[in-house]
Amino acid sequence: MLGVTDVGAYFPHRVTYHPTCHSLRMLGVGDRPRQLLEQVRGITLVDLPGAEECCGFGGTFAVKNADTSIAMGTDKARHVRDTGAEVLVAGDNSCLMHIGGTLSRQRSGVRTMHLAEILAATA
Amino acid sequence: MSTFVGMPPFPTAARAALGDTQLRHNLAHATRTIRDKRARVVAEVEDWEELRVAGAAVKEAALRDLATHLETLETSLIAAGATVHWARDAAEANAIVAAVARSHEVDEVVKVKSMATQEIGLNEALEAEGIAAWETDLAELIVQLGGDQPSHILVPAIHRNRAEIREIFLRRMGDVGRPAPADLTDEPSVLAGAAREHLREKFLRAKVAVSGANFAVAETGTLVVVESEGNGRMCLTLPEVLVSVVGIEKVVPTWADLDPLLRLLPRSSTGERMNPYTSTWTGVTPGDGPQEVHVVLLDNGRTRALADDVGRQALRCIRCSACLNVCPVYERVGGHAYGSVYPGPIGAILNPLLNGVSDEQTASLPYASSLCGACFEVCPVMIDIPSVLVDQRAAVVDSHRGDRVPKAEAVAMRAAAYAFSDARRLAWAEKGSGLAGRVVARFGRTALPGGRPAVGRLPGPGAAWTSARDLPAPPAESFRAWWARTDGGRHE
Amino acid sequence: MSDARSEILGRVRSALADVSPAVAVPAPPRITPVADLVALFCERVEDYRATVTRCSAAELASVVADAVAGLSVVVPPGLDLAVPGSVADDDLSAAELDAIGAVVTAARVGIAETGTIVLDHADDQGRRAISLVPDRHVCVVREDQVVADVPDAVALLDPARPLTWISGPSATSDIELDRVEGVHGPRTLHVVVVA
Repeated sequence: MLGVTDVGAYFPHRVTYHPTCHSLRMLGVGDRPRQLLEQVRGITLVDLPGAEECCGFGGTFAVKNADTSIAMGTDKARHVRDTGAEVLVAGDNSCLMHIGGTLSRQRSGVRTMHLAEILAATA
Repeated sequence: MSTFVGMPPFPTAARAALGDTQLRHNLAHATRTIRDKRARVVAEVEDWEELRVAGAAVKEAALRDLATHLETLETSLIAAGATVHWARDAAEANAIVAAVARSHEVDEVVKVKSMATQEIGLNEALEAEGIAAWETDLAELIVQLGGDQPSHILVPAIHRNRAEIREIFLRRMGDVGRPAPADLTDEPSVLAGAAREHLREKFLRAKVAVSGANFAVAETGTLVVVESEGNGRMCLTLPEVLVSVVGIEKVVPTWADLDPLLRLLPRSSTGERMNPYTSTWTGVTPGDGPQEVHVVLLDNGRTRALADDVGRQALRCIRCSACLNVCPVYERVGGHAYGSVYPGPIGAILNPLLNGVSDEQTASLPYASSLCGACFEVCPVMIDIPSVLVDQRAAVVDSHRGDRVPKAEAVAMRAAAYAFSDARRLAWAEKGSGLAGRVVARFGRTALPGGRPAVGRLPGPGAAWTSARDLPAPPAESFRAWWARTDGGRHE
Repeated sequence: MSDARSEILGRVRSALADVSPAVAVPAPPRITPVADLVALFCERVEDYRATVTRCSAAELASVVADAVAGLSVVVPPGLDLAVPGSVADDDLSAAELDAIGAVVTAARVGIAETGTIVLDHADDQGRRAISLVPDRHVCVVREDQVVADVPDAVALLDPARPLTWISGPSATSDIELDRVEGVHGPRTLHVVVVA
């Protein structure tokens, strides 16, 4: 919107990006968050396989249909681990709580961060 | 009823399906294959979005003046030599078909795959009258011989792999007709060959056929069946008598209206530019095909759906099943968990719209979705399935308003509404949450990667989340408290 | 109890009592015109694993004779082509047709974009059963019958006639979504495109 893609951030880590259903299909932000991440200095951005598929959070779905939600989350977490990333980034904290909780229980050593946290990182 | 009797609610059925490793493998393979095929042929169409808009508009226009179009259809059909019947519900429709079969003194009919006849349980109803209904679509044959239920709109045996199908053919074909050859292999072409031999004797001798219709053109009285194998052509051509059970939402006003739909359906459905065979017929053609043609116009809940301002759009559905193939829930649990001939995202809205949400199983369906929106994105007639799902959840909640004992969820929602509607109450709630966060940080043994304190396994209502996922501990200080303390970060 | 017809129509009317019937239906988009329709048609028919032969009017008889060589053949009574050894359809029974190896028909229209042929079962195509039961269908399409896309075909076709749209041989993807050609309809489709 502002035409800015370089926000002057510095984040020297291996990162993969989950685009989230809401950003992708409701808001239609396209690849703009990715463009912002690409300009972050020091970052190694790796593609997430099956990125566009839902992580399985879905609000009350996560507890009303916990088994299905967990099955989806487990697949998403597997894709994240396959990238070898240290950090999973997304623009939606509820996805991050769900995928992050799964990655944590799996002792995967992958942490989750919100897009804004990375764009605000300077050191 | 379009739902299978005695099915447990979705979460229970889903749990069982998720544990079936063969099913998971078969589904993942099949849905991935068909998703990729669809994506390839859709990408080929430069104005796909405009085509969707046109297709949706054709169906919407038909629905919004449905009574007029139905009367026109009836007039055109009668003029073309067909007999038109009307059926309010499944029982009436089944009785009409049975009466036609009985009037020709047959003990069997051949059937083209038809969602409407599955919905009304026609095969079982005919069986009760001593009339065998032979399914002739390969997948329906697999389901019928296996004593199974369909699990997909387009590929009803998607839950079966080739080895299982070979077993079913070897074990069961001989009981109902020509047996499978003893040297049957599990090659798809060999299995299809066995089905050809098995069914050909039935096609050649059948006097009465039963079909559905993908579309019914009001102005001309033309019915359309879209298929792949040629079993449809066999049923629509060789028998003397043809009965077609057609949902009233299948009507389109004009012949030209078929254009966008015939372009949208095969690409969305089987991922082909065009399906192998499309047959159209208008009443009786002297000297060619069935000389006695019946059309049963079926309501069975459709007018209930039509009266729903948000849900009406579900009646635009052309049964392509693209929404099933992209649905991450369907991909993991398969069709049986939905307990209906209409599974997947479209089933999760269609069943409650047709039947209401008074039974627990149907009421569980609007929740069988993470609302990810992939179904809406691929729907060729632009049914906003996520919005209808949310609206149907509201219908479920409304249906429980009079309950003497409210559900735990309703209590939680009321508590949340109470806390969020007043700034002071919210501050108290945040203090409580902050306290819980500090307790977890102090005594908890779990931390998320990166160090944030977290909650591991919780008992009771928290177990649904924490059985497989850690839960971040609430922050010790809420954003509002931090803002007040630091004056918006100025005195950190 | 009222009859089903009036009750259903009554339910429809009351469901739509407050709904405006006016819906703007936009004209469906048209594909970008293609220079060589016949070439596209042939390519798309072949994509379905059908056999395509292009020939001149003079070559037609021998191309068709080769396509049915060694098989018993049925032809529609109005086919404007001599096929050696063929029998003209004279209301043959389904069982009689099942004993015949091949059928030769004309067509009404060919659709380039989708590789589809449409039969309207006029005298040069015959009634529906003859192009269904034999295992090999040889279908003669004239180049001037090929149109660009589905809407062109819909506009040309007469819905009062029975129509059969054919896109390749009979096929199924019911087993593991693996496409197999040849189930109940003709397992071999040979389209002869004549100039």
